Amino acid sequence: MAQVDIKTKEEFQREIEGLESKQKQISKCVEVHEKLEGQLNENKIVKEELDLLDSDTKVYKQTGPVLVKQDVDEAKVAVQNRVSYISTELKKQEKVIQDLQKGQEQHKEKLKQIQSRLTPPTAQKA
Amino acid sequence: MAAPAQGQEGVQLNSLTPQQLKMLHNQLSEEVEVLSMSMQTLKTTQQRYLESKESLSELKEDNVGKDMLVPLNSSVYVPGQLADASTVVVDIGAGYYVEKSVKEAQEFFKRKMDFLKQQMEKVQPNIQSKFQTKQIVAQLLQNKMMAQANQTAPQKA
Repeated sequence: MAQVDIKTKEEFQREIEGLESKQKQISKCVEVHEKLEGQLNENKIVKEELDLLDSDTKVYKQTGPVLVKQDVDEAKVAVQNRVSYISTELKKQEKVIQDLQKGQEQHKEKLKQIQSRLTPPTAQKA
Repeated sequence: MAAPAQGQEGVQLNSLTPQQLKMLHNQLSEEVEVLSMSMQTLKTTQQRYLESKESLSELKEDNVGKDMLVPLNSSVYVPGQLADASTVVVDIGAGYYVEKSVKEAQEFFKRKMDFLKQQMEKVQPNIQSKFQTKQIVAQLLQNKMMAQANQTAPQKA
């Protein structure tokens, strides 16, 4: 009986560590996801503003402390590309988060199973 | 006050243990806090756009040529003269700046302020409903704790 307990305890410990590590990873990924969402929205808004402009309007792009003149159409393309890029990155992050959550659920399931093994059958909750 | 809401959520909430209610209460408090902070950011940003818009009204044609102080950074200014009151360069976000006429710039700021107003109108009901749920949970928690206390000391006069 004692030997089973030790092995089960180790398994339990492994699952808990796995769960905690997944949770930390999920938090980080959610942060990245939120940041990407913010950038996506900002760039979408900028694209909308650029679309309202005539082709001869003066547009400047900031690089460091310098504003560099840009062509309106070039700017539109650049921002559109950024929007596409960020959208793809966002989808990737969502997939990563989903996979991590699946892993998290698996750990939780294992933990439940282990717990029910540890609890003696006679003392199990009705 | 708790009666009408109990019809929907009360059925589920009532079946939670005091510990679960406490956790739920904490979670709701956090959510309300985060949403309120977002709300505050929206209001501050809206205020900044308003100030930008109002400062444009100083860019009048009859101010051209007048002396002014030009900021080089937040603590250093140089004396200069207003050269052109017809166009301004506006930060539209993501590192892009656009030259606009004063009128176009005013329209831009108005668009931004309206957008923010819309967003605030979306957030506000959310905050309120979470806050109300939080209060209901607090009430239920209190009731349960009192019921528990009465159970453990039934002999109190």
